[in-house]
Amino acid sequence: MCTGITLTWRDIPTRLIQKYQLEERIIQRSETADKEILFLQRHRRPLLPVFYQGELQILPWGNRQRNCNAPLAWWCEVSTLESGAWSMYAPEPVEILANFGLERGVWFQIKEGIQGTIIHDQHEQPYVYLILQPASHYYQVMTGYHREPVFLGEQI
Amino acid sequence: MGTSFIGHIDSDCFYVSCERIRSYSLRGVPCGVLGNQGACVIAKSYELKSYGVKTGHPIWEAKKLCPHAVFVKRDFRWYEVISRKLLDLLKTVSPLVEYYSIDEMFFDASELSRYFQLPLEAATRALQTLVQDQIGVPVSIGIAPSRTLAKLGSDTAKPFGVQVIEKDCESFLRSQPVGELCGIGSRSAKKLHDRNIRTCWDYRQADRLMIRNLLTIKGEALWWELRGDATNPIQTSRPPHKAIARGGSCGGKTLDPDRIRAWAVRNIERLIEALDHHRVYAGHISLQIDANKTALWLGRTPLAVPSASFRTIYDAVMPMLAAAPTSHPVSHMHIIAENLTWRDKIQKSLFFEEAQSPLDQLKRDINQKLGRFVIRSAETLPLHEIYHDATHNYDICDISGKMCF
Repeated sequence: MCTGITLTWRDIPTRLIQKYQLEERIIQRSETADKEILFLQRHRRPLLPVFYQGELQILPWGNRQRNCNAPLAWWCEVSTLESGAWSMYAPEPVEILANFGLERGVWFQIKEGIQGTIIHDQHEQPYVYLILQPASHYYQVMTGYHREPVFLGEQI
Repeated sequence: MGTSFIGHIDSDCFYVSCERIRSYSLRGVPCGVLGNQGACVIAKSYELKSYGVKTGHPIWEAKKLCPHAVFVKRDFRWYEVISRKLLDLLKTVSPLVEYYSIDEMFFDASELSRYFQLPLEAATRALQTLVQDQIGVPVSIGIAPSRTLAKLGSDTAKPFGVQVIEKDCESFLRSQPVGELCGIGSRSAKKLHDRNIRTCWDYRQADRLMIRNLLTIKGEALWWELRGDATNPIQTSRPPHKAIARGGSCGGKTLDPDRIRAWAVRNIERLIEALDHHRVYAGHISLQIDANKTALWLGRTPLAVPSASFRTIYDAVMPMLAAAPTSHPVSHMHIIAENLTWRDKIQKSLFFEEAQSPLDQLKRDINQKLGRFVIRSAETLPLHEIYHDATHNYDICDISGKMCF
C-alpha cells in the first residue's frame, strides 16, 4: 500500500500551492535538500497531485463522505478494477505524480509516478484512488506490507 | 615502476552518489541504498550516517534512527556504468590506472601537475572538480609516494577532500591510529598495541625486523610503504584469480531434489558468466553444499581439458550432487572453478570438444543483449519465485570489482 507521497515543490505551480493552502504541508528532509510537499492519507483533507486532462491538478484522495455515490475508499485493487467491479463509476486512468512514497514508516523512491484511477460522483466532483497490486518480495521485505501501488515504468 | 607519486581516488558514498546522478530529488536527502532483499542498508549518504545508521543495519532499525530517510533499491548495473566512466576519465589524466574496486582506483599521479599546468595540490583539486563535473560523483583523493599513504590520505580527506602527503609526514602519521592502515585488522592492531605501537608514526619508527616477525612480510611491506618507499606497483590488469565461485543462499532450506538441482544449474550459469567476464577456463570444479551454515558436502572433479562449457561443467557437478547426502535440508550451495587458465593461453585439443560450444556462445550473446537469464536452462524452472518476480533474486552482486551484500 502507500499511505503518503511527496512531490518536490518546484513541480507544483504557485497558484495551486496557494489555492489548496499547500504551504503548511511543505517539508525539507535536510538543510540542503529540496523542499517537498507532503500528501498524506491521514490529512484532514487528503489530496493527491495528478496529471489529468493535460495538466497538473490537485484532487481529493478517495472519498470519506457517505452522502455521495463514490466508493468509501482511497485505493482500489488492480484485479477488481480489471474485473469490471468499478465500471459503474466509469473510472479513468490517471498518473499520480510523486518523488517519494511512504509505507509503514519507510520512505522509498518513486521514479516516475503511481498509477491511479479517477471517478466522478453525482455532482461531477472527481475523486482519485490509488491502484494497488500484490507486493513484490522486495517491497514486502522493505515495508513489511503485502500490497504495493502500481508504479509507472518500474517495479520496486 | 619509477613513478614519484601514486594517487588514490575514492568515491564518497558511491552508490548513493550514483543514484543522485539520475535523481535530483535525492540530493541532500538522508538516503540509504538497500541490498538484494530490501532488508539491509548496504550504503548510506553522509546525511543518513549522521543519524547513526551504519552499513549492514536492517531497514527497521534505520527507519527508527532517521524516520525521514529515503531508501532506494540497489542497481549494481548502473553503479558499474558510472565506475567505468570514472575509470575512462582517469585514464585521460594518468598514464597508469588500477581498477581497485567499483569505487576506488589507484593511479600514477606523477603527470598530474603537467596535465593541469598547476602545482600538485591544485592539480589534485582540479581533478576532483573534473570528476564532479563530468561524472557527477564526489570523490576524495590522496596523493603520496606510496599506495598505503595515498589510501590513508584519501580516507582522511573524506568527504570531498584532497590530501597530498610528502615523504616526511610525521605530524600526519602521528594523527593516524595504526588500525586505520589498510591491511591491519583488529588482531594485528592488538599485537601492535601490546608493543605500544599505536599510531602510524610509531609503526614507521618501529624496528623493521620486529615488524616482520610480528606481522610477516606483509607487515614489513606496510612498514616500507609508510616510509614512502612504494613496494606495490600500480597494476593495470588484475592478477589471475585462484578460484571463482558462484552460489549462496538457496532461498530457505530445502530437501526437494528438483529445487536443489535447479539451484545448482542456476549457479553453473552464473559461474560461466563470471568465467566469460574474466576470460578464463576452469580446470577443476568443486561443489559445496551447506546445511545450517555447516559444510555438509564438498566434492571436486577435474575437467579433462580447461573449459567454460555448460555441458562440461554440468556433467561435472551433477554426479557430485547425486553423491551428496540427502538427509539434511540444504540451505546454501557454492560451485567453485579452480585451476584457472587464461583463454588466450590455452592449447587447443584434437581429442576433446571446444572449451565453449557454439550454443554457449549464442546463449551468452543473447543474454548480454537482452538481459541476464533471458535464455536459461529449463532445469531452473522450479525457481519460479525468482523468475516470476523481477525484484526477487539471490544474486550476490555478480558485478566485477566489488564485494557486495
